[in-house]
Amino acid sequence: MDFFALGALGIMGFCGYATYHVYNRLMALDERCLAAYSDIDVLLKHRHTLIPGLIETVKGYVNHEREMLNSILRAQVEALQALNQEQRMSAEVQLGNNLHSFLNFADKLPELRASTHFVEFRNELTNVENKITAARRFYNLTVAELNSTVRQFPGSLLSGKAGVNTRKTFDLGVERMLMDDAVEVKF
Amino acid sequence: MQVNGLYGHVARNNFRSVWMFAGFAVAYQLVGLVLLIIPTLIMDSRNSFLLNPFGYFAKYSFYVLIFSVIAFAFRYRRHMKILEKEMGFATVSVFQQPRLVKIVETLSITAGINMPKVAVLENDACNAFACGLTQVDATIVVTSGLLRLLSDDELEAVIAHEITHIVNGDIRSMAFANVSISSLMKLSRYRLTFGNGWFSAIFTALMPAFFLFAAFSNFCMYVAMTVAKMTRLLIASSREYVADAEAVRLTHKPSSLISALRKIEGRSAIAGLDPIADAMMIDGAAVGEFATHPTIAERIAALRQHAGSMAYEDEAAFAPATYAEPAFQPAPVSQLRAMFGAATKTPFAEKAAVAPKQLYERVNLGNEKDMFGRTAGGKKKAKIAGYVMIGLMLVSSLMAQRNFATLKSEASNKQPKAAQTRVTSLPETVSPIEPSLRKSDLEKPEAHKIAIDSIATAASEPSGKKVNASEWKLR
Repeated sequence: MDFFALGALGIMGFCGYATYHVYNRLMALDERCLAAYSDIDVLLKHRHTLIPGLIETVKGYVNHEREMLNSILRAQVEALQALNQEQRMSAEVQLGNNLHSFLNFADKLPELRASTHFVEFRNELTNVENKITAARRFYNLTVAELNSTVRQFPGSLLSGKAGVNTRKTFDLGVERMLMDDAVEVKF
Repeated sequence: MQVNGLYGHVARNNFRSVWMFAGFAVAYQLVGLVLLIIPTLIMDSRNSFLLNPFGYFAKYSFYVLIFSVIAFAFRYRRHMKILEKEMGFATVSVFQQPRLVKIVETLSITAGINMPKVAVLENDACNAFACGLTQVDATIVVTSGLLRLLSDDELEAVIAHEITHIVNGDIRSMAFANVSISSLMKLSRYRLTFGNGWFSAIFTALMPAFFLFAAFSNFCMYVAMTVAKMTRLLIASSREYVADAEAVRLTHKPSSLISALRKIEGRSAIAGLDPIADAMMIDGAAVGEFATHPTIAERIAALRQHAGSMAYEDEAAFAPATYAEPAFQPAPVSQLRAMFGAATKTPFAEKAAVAPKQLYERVNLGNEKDMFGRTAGGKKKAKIAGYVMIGLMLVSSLMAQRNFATLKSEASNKQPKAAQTRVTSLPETVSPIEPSLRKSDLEKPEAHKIAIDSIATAASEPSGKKVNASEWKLR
């Protein structure tokens, strides 16, 4: 066997190995994104289970602000009815914002603050919220890794054929601007 | 492939830790080379390393590989038997340590393994480690100092690190590395070497060639052991990086892991823990003979690189809550002098404290012996032996010169007489073929021609006298 044949074999072997490697990397990253999303999913589900109890606890106190509770329930229903991941994400973000503003409002009611049930629910919700934030950021980290691998050179050749596409990060989107507004403090 | 994040980091370190085992094969080859030098010189000098290095490797490296695998396997079996024995830790239940056991329980469910046993080691050192060979008999040991020091989030990050060690079977890979090193040590004892005592110093002074050979074999062994220790450090380091990254995946809290590592730094040494236990600690020696961990700074840098903004979260929380600027007071001259006097000395002290960057420096830090196997005392003796050797050589050369001079003068005195005897002792007949050829004839130019002619006649005659070349040369 001459030198060129050996060289061609070597190059072919290298290309084969590189394809195998990149394909596996893409698949593993895709799977990791799914796993990271399911981590958020568990926490979101936990939040959903807390909401009926919260509403049961507070509905006696907030007769005139029913609309707030309704908006929470509406967002929850929207999240449960979502057909795809992106709809679900935006609905969950909406739900989180509604919950956030409701808790801010409820903190101003002295009767509610005195209720131990409400305080427990609030603490639990805050805890879940923090966990969701951490899980969401980890999901975004994973998605960023997948996206850059899909777009970078060896991955960009293979990702289309392997059926791995870029994913959307779970960020707070437009609502983020509203949340970032300075909180008004009045005495 | 480019590393874009945590998964790439884990994949690269997994790949690295598998291929790093080739380092042990190299070390075994070096040890085999030293051990085989004399046997090959005696039995098969054509393929000895000293005479034909390529031939040696072509012929013997395969056998050395097979032998090293066998040596490794024997030692590994024995090592496993030692490890299977109970480690002397009392396990705790959820009633004794609810905080710790609940964290371990949650994380083992997240990681998808059986709940490992949990033990608390009463010790002020702040460390945690996983031991046990399989996921079934795994135990997570946490020191009481660590429990006191860390917050819940930090403790969770540390436990996640240990659980990852259990999931990945890192205890086994550490056992592999340790067994390789101990079998290399065992094999290297059979080499020809010198000690550090007076006897060997005198011996090497009397036999310089032995000294050179022993220095060569010691040097080879030093290289082999350095390669082996570097390999172990690289494997263990990459396992630590993987465990850190996977702990981030399990807990989503890289910042807690970073603050835990910072708190642990400098307080993690547990006195009296057997290094043979192959315990996978959260933090261990980064330098020295048993170096197995990257430095905390390197680990934090890796986490920051791959976990991005998540790794910076608790930075403010970790900083001391109240920092008061110390009030300025002019120091007395004596104090200043003491300070600046100390300042001239500190660079050296700091140099020793900071871990060296190069791997070979790292694993050989604190090694008493230099690359030729000499301790400081042995070096002193070797120096004296060297002077003695040089002195002996001088004396012997002087003596030889004197002897030579006497011989020469004796020879010049006896020359004429000796020449006389030699000439007279020569036989009158110088050619066995041509008896008529005389000594006096040799001085004539045509003598050679006559001699050659006489050979030709002798060869052409079948009945002639047989010509013996060696006899002919005697002329």
